[in-house]
Amino acid sequence: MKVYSIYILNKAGGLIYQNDVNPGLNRLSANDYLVLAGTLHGVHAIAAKVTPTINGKEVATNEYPNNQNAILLASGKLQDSNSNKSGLQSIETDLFNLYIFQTLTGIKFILITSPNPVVHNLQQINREVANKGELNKQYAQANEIFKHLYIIYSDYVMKDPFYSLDMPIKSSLFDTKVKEIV
Amino acid sequence: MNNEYDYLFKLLLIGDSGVGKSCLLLRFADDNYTPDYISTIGVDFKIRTIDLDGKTIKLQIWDTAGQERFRTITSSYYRGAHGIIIVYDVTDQESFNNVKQWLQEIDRYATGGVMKLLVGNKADLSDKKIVEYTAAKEFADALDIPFLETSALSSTNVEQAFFTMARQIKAQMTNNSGANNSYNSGKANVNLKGQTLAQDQNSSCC
Repeated sequence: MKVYSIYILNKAGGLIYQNDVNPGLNRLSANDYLVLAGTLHGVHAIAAKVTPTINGKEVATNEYPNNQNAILLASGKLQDSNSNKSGLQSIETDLFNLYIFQTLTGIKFILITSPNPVVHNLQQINREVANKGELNKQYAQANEIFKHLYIIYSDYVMKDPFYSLDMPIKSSLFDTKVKEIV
Repeated sequence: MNNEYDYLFKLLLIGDSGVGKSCLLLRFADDNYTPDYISTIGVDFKIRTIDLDGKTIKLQIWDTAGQERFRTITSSYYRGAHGIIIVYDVTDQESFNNVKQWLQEIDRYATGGVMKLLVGNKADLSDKKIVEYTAAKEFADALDIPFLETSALSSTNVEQAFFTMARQIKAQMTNNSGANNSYNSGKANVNLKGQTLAQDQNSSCC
């Protein structure tokens, strides 16, 4: 999997970071990126409303277990920092994949990567299974990147005394760290 | 990369359907006007880059749909907004009456210290005007919200409306983050000045 681009959206849906780490995508204007970010923010919110129901009752997929706080206090570590349980998680196309990770504070990390590899040689039935395996693999890889991104975001953006919350990230140190990840 | 702008402000336009939110925005962002009425679906964005005190600021303006049926995910649009502009139509009493409801909506969904601005649009239609300037001004003053009458058609006050907002937000931001200004801001701050502790006269322990 090749990561083309990384976006970070603040809780308001504003684009605060955009980095084309690998060439491969068309460049848009700064305003177009902002519109894209805002649109994804809206789509994510709508997608979160489409919650599965059983006999008309909502299945709580977005709820955290009640013991989340206890676990957090006991271990000092959030077990699963992804609050993106019911919103949009990924978009797959023939040309690229897009993954979204939302933190509990509403920050969204977005990755645009190369598409799932297509398996040609297998038979029709096996192909579906194989693709699914490949998909899960890529999804796991994306999540691994998200985890690292979140860590360096916390370390190099949130701890930067000159950074104002929800504003564009302009830290060259953060840039280098992002490049190291991908 | 991301070096094109220093600040990103999220502004939100709300108000009844048909009061001219989208036209106001079209005038501000593209300096254009269209008399055609096209209902906004969900939300629309316009972005304008401005310079304030040597800083490049992107104003991302979220133009929401006034119609009731698009209200399902409003809360996610209000979230994190820096400024909210409530628009009514000066030729439509009902739209002015509904401003109260819109203010309630803000209280429910938006961040606490969000900047508000009341705007009476379609000020060019003076012969059809129903909501008087004084009445609206009084209402806004009572709530301590700035007020302007605008016209997207003749572009009266449109720039002012958005610039007023941007300047206020910027001032608020530098106030909150700049340690130098915090002395004068009158807000609660941690006092780091040295202070001699009053010696307890009857100190008995240790």
